[in-house]
Amino acid sequence: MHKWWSLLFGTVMTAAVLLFVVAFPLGWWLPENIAIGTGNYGKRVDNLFYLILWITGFFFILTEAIMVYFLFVYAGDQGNLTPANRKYGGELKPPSLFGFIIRPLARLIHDQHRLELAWSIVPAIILIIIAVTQISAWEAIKYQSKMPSPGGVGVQQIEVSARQFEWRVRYPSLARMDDWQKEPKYAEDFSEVAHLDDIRLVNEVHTWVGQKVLVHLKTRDVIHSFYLPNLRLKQDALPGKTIRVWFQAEKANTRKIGDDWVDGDGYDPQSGKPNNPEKVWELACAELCGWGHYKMIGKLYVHETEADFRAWMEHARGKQYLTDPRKTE
Amino acid sequence: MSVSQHPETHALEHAELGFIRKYIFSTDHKIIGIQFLFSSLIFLIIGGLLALLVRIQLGWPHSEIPILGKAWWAGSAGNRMPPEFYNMAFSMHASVMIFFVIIPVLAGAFGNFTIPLMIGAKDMAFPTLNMCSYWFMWPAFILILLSFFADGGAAGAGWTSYPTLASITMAAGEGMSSPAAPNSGMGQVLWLSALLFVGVSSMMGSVNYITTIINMRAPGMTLFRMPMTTWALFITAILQAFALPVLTVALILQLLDKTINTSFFLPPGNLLFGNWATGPGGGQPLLWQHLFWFYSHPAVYIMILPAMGMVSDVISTFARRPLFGYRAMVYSIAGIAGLGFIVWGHHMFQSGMDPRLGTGFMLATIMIALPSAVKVFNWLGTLWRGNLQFTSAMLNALAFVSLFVIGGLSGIFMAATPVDVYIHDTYFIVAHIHYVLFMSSIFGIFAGVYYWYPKMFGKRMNETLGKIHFFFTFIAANCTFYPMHILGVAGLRRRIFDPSHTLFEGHLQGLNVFISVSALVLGVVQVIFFANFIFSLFGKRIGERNPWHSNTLEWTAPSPPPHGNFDTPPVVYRGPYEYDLPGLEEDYLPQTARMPGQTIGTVPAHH
Amino acid sequence: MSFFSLRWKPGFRRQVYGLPITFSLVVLSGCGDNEYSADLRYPARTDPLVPRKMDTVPPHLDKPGDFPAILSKLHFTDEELNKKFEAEKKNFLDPTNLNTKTRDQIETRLEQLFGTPFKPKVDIQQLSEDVRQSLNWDENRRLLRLDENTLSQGSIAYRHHCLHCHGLPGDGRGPTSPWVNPHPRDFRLGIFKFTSTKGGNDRKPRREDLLRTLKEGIESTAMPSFALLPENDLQAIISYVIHLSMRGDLETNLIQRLLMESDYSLKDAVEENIGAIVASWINAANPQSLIVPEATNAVFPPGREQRQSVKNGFDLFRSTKDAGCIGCHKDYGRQSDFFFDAWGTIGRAADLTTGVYRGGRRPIDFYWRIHQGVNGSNMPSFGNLLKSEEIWDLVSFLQVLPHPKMREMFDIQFD
Repeated sequence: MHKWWSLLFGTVMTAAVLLFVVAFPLGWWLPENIAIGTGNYGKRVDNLFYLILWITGFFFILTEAIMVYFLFVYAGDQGNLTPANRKYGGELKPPSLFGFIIRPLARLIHDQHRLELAWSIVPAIILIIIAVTQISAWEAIKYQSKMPSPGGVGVQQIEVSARQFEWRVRYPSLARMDDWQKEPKYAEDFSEVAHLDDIRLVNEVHTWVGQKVLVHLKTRDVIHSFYLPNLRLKQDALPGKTIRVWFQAEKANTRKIGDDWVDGDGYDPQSGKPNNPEKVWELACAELCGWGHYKMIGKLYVHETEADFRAWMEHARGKQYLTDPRKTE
Repeated sequence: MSVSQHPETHALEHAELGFIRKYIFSTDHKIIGIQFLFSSLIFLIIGGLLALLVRIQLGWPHSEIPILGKAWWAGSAGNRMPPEFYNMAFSMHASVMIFFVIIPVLAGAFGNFTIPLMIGAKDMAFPTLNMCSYWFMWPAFILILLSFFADGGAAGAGWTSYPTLASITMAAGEGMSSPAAPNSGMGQVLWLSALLFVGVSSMMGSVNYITTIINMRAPGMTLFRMPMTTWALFITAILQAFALPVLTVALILQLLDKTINTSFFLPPGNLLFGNWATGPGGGQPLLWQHLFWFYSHPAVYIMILPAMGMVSDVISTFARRPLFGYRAMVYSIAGIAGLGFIVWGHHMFQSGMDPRLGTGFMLATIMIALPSAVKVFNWLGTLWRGNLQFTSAMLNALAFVSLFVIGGLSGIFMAATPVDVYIHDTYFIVAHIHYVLFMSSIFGIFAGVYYWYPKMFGKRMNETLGKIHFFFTFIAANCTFYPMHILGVAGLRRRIFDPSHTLFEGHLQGLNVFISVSALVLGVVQVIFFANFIFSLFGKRIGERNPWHSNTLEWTAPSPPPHGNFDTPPVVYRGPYEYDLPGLEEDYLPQTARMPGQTIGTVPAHH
Repeated sequence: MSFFSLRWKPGFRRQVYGLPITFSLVVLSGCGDNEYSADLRYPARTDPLVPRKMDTVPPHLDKPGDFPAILSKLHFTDEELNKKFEAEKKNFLDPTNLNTKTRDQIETRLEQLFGTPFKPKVDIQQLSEDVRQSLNWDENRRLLRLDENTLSQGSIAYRHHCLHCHGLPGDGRGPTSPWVNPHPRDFRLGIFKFTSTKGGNDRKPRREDLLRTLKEGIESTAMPSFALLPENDLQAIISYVIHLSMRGDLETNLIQRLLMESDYSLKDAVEENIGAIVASWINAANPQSLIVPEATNAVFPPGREQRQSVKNGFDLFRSTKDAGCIGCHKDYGRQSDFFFDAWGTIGRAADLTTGVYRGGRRPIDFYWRIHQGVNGSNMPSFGNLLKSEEIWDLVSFLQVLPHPKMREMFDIQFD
């Protein structure tokens, strides 16, 4: 009867595995990865995640299965303390079903030293492989030397200044962006010097497909964290420092509907829900920053083409420099 | 190792002590251990209730909490939990559980109670220091409980207390309130002070344990004949001795920042909080993180190694088999502890620390998985060919093993820095934390309590209730914490007052409700354990010396052991895991049992 | 020791299994959903009514945690100042001085007119025919969108997003309010700072003004941007805030009248005041109330062609007559004095060198604030003193002011 304990363990562990199996079809899984694959880290994060998932999954199932098996087979008569060696008489007696696996291993298992060595070295090798293969991905995400440089051609710069509890975003005007194309060195002071004609928005990060975006991340008060789940990007913002972050999106989610550019294929006027929630990509704060940490949310808008982005920026500029209240409101 | 001398510190008969000296200000390690146990169990209730508040808010973020809503948040608050309160709830939950439950129980309660008994000593090397180490916890208890009533609430910047959220204060002369968060005022100051006392208490304890273990072992008790519990506590004490000073320094620096306007963690440039502004300083918020994690990473090993040691002993005893790979187990614990000092940066991968440091910390962190894996395999090896006796202690120990596997494997995801970019500060981390803390440390604690209860009190806890408690706890705990892995993979962030605020997290609300319900069930089920613990104290005293037929030294002493522990000073002839030896009548052979012709030096430790 | 050898007593298993389940159900059953509970009532006002203009000049801000007892806890080191402050406090009107019966009557009447948090309403129907006629309520109610559906939706959204700062009755005294500065707006005075409408101290904002505040937040305060909320939630919140403001405004006026004139009848008081309050909101919604600049040639951001405009603005800012901005915005706002505003909290003239603007950064926002002042604060209106072009000149100057390179370009010198 005491063998039923192995069933408890077995059931719970099976449920655990099943949860991971059903999670994906139920939509409880990684959000869509819109980061560009080649030359960018985005997809490598997912690949590494899945590699580790399979390896740890394998060892999880192996270890728990062995444990459940042992709990079942070796469960003794409760209270009967006859030495176990008399029961087994020195011979291994696994049920014959597993005999063909276990008998070849028997020699290994009987030699305790060799066994210890085996189950130390094999995991060590696996771990070293996991460690070494990921170094370049980490470099691609965080090393400043691998990031697009501010004066680089084809780099869009944005300054994101986090504060309790919103993201204040500053974009260079189109005129300045064009200037930088001609004279890249003028691009280098963007993060330090705010210009009058910069476009300032709150909680909106705009870019376009395939464009490398360099974000200068700042904070005005406490530590926040710039987290874009769909780009697998996260970086804490430290007070007193400007930290660089970069990304590149391969899909768009924004287009002009009516007067304005919206994501999510527009929003239903009644319920306020997006018509296509798959196309809403959020920016969230991922470091406790106070009572409003949960509501420090922004959105990522990826335009389909640079032309569309420019059109949007003209529109935003118009709103920012509004002088006649009867025009837009 | 040297054969210890018995110091003639007191005459064999001395004056009977009064009630206060015997049970309150006692220098007897057993009483002190039990004192730690009782205080920690009370704080376990407090920490658990805080967790339930967190889960109730997370499960039903927009609902009014029955009874409490009207009692605590009437008036302008509209009967609704304010977000600052939620921040306080999870911060204090973690702080209480870590500093007032797990560390005091493992290092304070079990360390104190078992070490002298298991090595054959009469008491600790410094009994008065030992008593101080318990009583230094009392200022900490008072300060932390007072902090709940502080203006602005108890500390609410996470148990990690990162500046500048936690440490910002108004300008000189304007008091200690914080413009960054209400909880970072007096509540934070009390939190820092309380933890200082906890640190001092632990440091005193660790000095005691190390000295006792090195100097006061019984004749024949070489280091490699010590049970795993003692080894684990020994190495834990070393961890505490080296890591706690750094935490103490960090706490003092932050306390100075808060009280006398130093700027250790305040960066240059003004910080703006609406109309309030602070700074400029000349410091670095990242400095806190380095100092804090330099302690707190070894701290997590402090919270698991004693449990690993206890579980090794429990499993060996109830499998009726020697511990598989004793020396490998010892080396693994040492390896985990040693490596544990060079991995603290893995908590800071996304912090803005130079990413090249990140690569270094990643390599060390990945390697820590190795000794942990070795230990798991060795536990499985211990079960092999055993005669498994499913007592409450054994069940909890087995749960430790199977669930530690999950906790350890989830750690590998975080060690991989690119994956950590995604899962840092998500519920994946919360899942990992609770698998290694609740499911491992706390199940280890339960195992230890059921195992040593007869020795501590001379009575047994009720086995049936123990099994019922285990059954429901095992299921409820897994139902509560396992789905958090999925939440983390989907990107749900930690420390969020209202997860329904975003689209990418809002659709997970069903899982959140399931977890919250399981957490409530889990909380209620613990009543069984407490009831069992308390009512068994008033049961009939059985006083059996060795109910579990175990080998280690404490089972030769009376239950409970008197002052001085043993009837006669023990002499040790062998290691602690001589179970299931061929040719013997009994399936166990205690360390002190002298076989014909045996001397203390000749028998090599069974490994 | 075997688990299954226990003979189960009949009720035992039920208790063991049932206990956790029952507990959970008890907890769950008490949980409402998104709304306030039906028995919740707006609390009666107990904080004192502060005169609109206090003379005491506070030397510093209040500390975190002082508010809302700010006026009782605030203590200055300067004894003279303290004496003056204590003398001024004697002019405060304390609602608790009214007898309980009157206060209950006020609350009952308010509930009849404005409902409860669970079921908010603005029930003008029950007032006399005169009042309804004068307000042209049948037409104008649609203008203000104060129907019960919108208000219910607004109540739910307010409870999720606004309650913990702005408080249940919109008193700005939610649990978070002592810990942020500036403190959350108290809607009960019916005064809103950032308006685009003509009128004096009793002018109200348009819905679009409130929408701007919700969508952009107020930078450098604790009011965040709510642009990510659905549009109809935002509109519902605006309606609910207007409702809270009307209710609070009426409550404040009633308390004031009844404290100052003890034989005043409640019924008369209500009819007199509610009419004026609702009328002012209707007025604000009227397109005629919108301030539209006469001068139409303003160019932003100012370029080289606007040199003269910027220079004019600079001169206007520093002059001691006409605008004379520098009188209050001392050193361009970097050393302004503090004052008590209409809500009894402490403010100061804005620092115009930071490039951070609470009332909005669009040129038209600047125009409105200069033209009509900032209601509730010490910023007066200059619409009658300055011509439309002059206001635009000031705006050009203010846009340039925070940027050192631009100041160089436009020859603006100050240290």
